[in-house]
Amino acid sequence: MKMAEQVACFFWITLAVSVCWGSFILKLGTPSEPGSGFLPFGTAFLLGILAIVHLIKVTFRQGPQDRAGAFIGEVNWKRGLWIVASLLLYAFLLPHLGYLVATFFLMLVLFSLYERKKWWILLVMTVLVNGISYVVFHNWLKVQFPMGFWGFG
Amino acid sequence: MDLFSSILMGFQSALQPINLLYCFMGVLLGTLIGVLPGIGPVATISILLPITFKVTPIAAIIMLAGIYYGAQYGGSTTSILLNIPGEATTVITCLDGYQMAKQGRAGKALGIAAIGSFIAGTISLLGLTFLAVPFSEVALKFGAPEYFSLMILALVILAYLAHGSMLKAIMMALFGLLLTYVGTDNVTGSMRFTFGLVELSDGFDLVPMVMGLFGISEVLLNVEQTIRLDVLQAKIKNILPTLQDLAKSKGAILRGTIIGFFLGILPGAGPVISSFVSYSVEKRISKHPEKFGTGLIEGVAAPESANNASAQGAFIPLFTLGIPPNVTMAILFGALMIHGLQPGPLLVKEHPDFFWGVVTSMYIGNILLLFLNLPLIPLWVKVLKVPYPILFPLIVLFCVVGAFSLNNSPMDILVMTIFGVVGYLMRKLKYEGAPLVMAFVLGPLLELNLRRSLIVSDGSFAIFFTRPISAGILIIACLILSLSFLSKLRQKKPDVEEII
Repeated sequence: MKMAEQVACFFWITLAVSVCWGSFILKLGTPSEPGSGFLPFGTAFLLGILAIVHLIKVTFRQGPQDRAGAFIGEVNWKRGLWIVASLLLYAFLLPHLGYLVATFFLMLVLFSLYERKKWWILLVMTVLVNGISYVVFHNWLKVQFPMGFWGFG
Repeated sequence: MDLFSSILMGFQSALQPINLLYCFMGVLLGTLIGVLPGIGPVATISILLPITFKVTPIAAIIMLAGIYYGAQYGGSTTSILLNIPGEATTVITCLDGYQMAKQGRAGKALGIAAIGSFIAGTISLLGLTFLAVPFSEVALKFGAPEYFSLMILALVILAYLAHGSMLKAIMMALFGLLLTYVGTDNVTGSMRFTFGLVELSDGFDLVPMVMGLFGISEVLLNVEQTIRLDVLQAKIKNILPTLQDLAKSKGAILRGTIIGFFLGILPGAGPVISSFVSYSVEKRISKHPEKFGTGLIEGVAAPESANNASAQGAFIPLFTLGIPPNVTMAILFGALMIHGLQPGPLLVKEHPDFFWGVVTSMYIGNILLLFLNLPLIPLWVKVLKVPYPILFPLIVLFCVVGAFSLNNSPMDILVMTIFGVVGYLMRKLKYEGAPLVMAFVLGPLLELNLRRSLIVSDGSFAIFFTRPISAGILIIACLILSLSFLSKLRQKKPDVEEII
């Protein structure tokens, strides 16, 4: 955890420095006439200071040494990775494939993530959820879904 | 308009069939997600927020509020039957509730939880009814410096009461503020931190952000392990507590209500802290403190009453001061803004039909919850058997459609996913999401009030210390900050280990 905490601190410091620099470009102004960068600068400066304090605290904290994979732990992180990858792909493919087709594939992946199911159960669940969600969101709640190049969905 | 006429007007509005339907849907959903571990009111409200854009503001807020206080009722079911809290607010109920269930008294535990919740919720609503107008009249005297100081105080208290490191909580609040600066500057009209992307010119939307931070990140954490729920197999009987049980619990319910109500008003405290404090108080004043944790009915009545009282009390600062005291209220704050209503002292004056409609709907919601919780307990037990592998794809689908429907743009799905990963990493590294969202919601007002104050005072920060109310609020904030650095005093915060 210690290393992960240190990496996080470096992220905060980098973010703080970048925002401070961006705020200078935006113009800080004066207290009587604060510019667009006035508050972002103050906020980022404070964040940077706190991140440095936290980094020092974490670095000099006495505790057991990190072992490999301590941050990830004894967990199945691959499922999470699949979900994130599917969502990113879904966001990209939705306008091209349309709601029904894109959601079909998303649900297929998500339903099959946990345990092995018979293919027809998987298919029935996916089609059912896809269809019901389409009726609820599109027909009842009037959400305008993209059609995709199929011309439906 | 006098109070009686206002309440009457509120009931007229709340009892309209459509509002009644949304109230029922809200409390039903609230109980459902309260029962289900792995999804809480924050995630649910975030997920359902876009759907409410299609209905009137009053129906939307009635439903979202129903989800919030309904979840406080439902959360006790899993605590009592599974020893797994359905919500963070019912963690402490596990201690005596599960022991009661193991002794064959699950029905009584569930019954007293529902009755205590109902009594506490109703008393707390009376407090909301009578205190809302005086509170908003005081708040009308506030100017920009007072509002700025009040928001600082809210963020400081929230950070102080954070479950983990206060330093991290403050960093999260600052990160939340930084996120609000993305987009068009409201004062000068110039673009800030948009990197030339047109999509960022309006800044980040609250909805995909909270959906990611709470909905998607919750799923990412839960799918890491295989959740198996072992529901107590014994038949649940004797749901109604005996007169003896009620006599034992009445003090606990009343004390829980008072503690919950006042801690609910306080920014940052909320139902979680209230339930811990009330349990701690009961244990301390009991003649047999050693028996707590072995199945005492007071150990269920007190925290369950406190978390409900707190949930209702939290609406006071939101509606009257425009300051959300916890993260759920922060999301409701966002929902009100999206619906074109500005939470704050003018809400009661300018939209009395809305305000009193929502308040009175909560009385109705409380009665509905009593009926939903007592006779339908066997049904909720069945709901617990829905396997997570079936549940989580549905949660993801709701998030996806909710995010997309905001602007009909896949960009929002992308933003939601990115914040989902951010939320996941934050939880892994023990950074809390609540200060981030609170700061994100309060950020634009905080900046506006600071800049207005500085312009009025010709650049002098002394304005915050020369005006008595503002100075008083900032002194309290400074005292809290100083206290937090005294580690001994910080340990006074109630936590599970201490109470057990």
